Amino acid sequence: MAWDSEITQLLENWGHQDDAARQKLLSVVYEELYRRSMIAFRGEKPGHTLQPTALIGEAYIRLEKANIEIKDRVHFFALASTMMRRVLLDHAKAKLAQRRGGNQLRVTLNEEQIGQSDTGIEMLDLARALEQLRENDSRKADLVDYFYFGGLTVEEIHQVSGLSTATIGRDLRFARAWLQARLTEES
Amino acid sequence: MIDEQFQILNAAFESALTLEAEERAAFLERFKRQHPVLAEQLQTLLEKDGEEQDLVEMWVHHQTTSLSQSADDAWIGRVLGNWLITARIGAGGMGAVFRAERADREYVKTTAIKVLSGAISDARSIERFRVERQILANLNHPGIALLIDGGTTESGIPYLVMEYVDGVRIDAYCDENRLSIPDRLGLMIQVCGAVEYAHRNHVVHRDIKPSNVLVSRTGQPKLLDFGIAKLQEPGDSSLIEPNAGPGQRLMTPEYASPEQVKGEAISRQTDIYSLGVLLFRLLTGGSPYASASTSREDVERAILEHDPAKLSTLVSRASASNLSNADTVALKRAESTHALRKLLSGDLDNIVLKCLQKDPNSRYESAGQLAADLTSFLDHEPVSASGTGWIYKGRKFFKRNSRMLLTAAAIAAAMSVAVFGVVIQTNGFGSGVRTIAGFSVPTAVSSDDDVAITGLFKFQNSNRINQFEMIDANHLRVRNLATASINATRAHGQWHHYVRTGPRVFQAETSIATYTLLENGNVVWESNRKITLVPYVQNAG
Repeated sequence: MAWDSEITQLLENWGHQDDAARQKLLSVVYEELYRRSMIAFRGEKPGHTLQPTALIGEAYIRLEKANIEIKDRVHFFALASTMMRRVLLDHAKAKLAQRRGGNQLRVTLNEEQIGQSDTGIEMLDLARALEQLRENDSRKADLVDYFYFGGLTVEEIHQVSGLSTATIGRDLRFARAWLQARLTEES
Repeated sequence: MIDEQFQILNAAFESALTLEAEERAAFLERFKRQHPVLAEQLQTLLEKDGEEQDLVEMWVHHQTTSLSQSADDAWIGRVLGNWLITARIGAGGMGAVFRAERADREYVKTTAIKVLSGAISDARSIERFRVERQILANLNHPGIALLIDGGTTESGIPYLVMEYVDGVRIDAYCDENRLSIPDRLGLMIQVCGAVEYAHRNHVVHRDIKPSNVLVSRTGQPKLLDFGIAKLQEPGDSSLIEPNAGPGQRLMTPEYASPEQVKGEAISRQTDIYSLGVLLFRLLTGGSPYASASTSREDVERAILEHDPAKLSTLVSRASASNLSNADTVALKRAESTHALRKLLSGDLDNIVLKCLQKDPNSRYESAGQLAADLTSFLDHEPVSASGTGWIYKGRKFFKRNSRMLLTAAAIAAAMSVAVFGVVIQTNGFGSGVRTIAGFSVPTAVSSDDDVAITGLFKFQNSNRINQFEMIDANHLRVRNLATASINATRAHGQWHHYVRTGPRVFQAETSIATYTLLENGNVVWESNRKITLVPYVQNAG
């Protein structure tokens, strides 16, 4: 499954802090998030308002209840942020495919808006822009994950990344402008 | 773009941001000479930096909303019991709501199915769900959306099948139709009636808010989800796992009562509180706890600690800070801003404040009493929430009967016999003093004495007590005090009633009947039936 390579990638990104215990934790975290997002996809929790922070928070609470030791709460949230980006991009991609795949019967007003949001951003454009940002500056791409997809505060990002809040602020400001420029430029 | 260019742009971007406009222009000029290819990109980045909207943030928000919806859409096409889910109507903290049709096409009927979030599996929870469902199914009132059916899915998720109400949220309905304040109060009185009915059947709604009160095409307000919140409350017998995710914390508990915020016992007074918040919103368009913050903590603290705003000051405040806002509120209520403020101050303020008391015991005892006060207000009658003071009663009476009072002495002089019993007005509806003192029969009354000319009488062969009040020299208003005052009679047994006859025939008109006070002391009630009334004189002592 695509998610397997995803988790491998994640673990590599975190390589500098790797140890066996953390590896194991991450895989548990991954499975938990994956399972929960799939629950959402299958509609087993109707009416549940999915929000990245909520989903991540729920996963965290589950793990805590299961007595899985999480020494490092903030790092968990950082990892989950990246996972959340994948969940949302995959969702957007699936919707786009469904829309283009002729499954027109159940197209509602809401679904019409899904592939392309009211901001006019195509999912593929955002995915590409995020990829390019990562190619140029992976640190900024990480910060974008934490901030936008995981909903972490600058202070929390500071604890995750060890970067000063000033640096985080500067990086995010440039990344934001850069992404905005990418997303609005004529293609 | 190659990595090096990215770094150059990044560095230049950061430098430019530290510079004032003039220096920045010079800096950009220099940059253009050094990096002619990148200059335009730098310019774009600085422009984008100044843009208000955040495209990535918007995208994330949009996708998460869409993800939630598509998760719910997975239910469309499923059959639950006899019902085929055909569309998604909405979603809330408690679950999703779908539209459904009869699956077997035995007959055509559209229903709303509420699928609760969370599964129940143990026998005790299933039994409790069954019991609660039965209680709710017994509620049969035009103001309450009927519970038709219910069950659990194969995976144990409980669902309820309810009457489908083709209607509009009550707040939207009022504003779209620019309902006047009296019309809004009329709707609220109907809502209170439905709540009162449920309370008498020992069901507390627990979640009264605009989205749970729809007004149908015929103008009938209908309460949705009666008692369903109980199925969802945390605790031993809760049917759901508590929603502890941070996202859930964003939900505003605006309509929650202090006891709900504190997790204390729920009672009928909990609904009274929420009715007060709803009333506040319908009258002013705002919330009793005007606060810039919408964080759950701040809203909860306001509910527990802050005094609610007065209706009138809310409109005034809106006026001070934003005139057009106050005007808009007034416009939607078909009033001028000034008239609206005047209308909302005094009795309506008191009624709402009585609903919003922190201590449940200080609120109205029942939704019926709240409705009675609203009715009194509409009829220019004293309202219980405004207290029992003579001055207040007198003022109220004066407002109602100003013309008559100004000529009271003249009227009295014209009468050879004292016509009216003067009753010390009591608080017939609220929790205040209910004893009516003995009285004498003055030959003249005036507004200076702050006395209300009213009397109570009974229909022959009936225990119901009615009240008459002088409208002017020739007109009486008669009102039935059935519910509220009969309770009081039982409690104190001290009602004194007095109707005196005079040389004239007095007639009173109400919307339901005409009363004629005859010279012999009898009152004739003319409507679709005719009965003779006699003065009710209770034995003293």
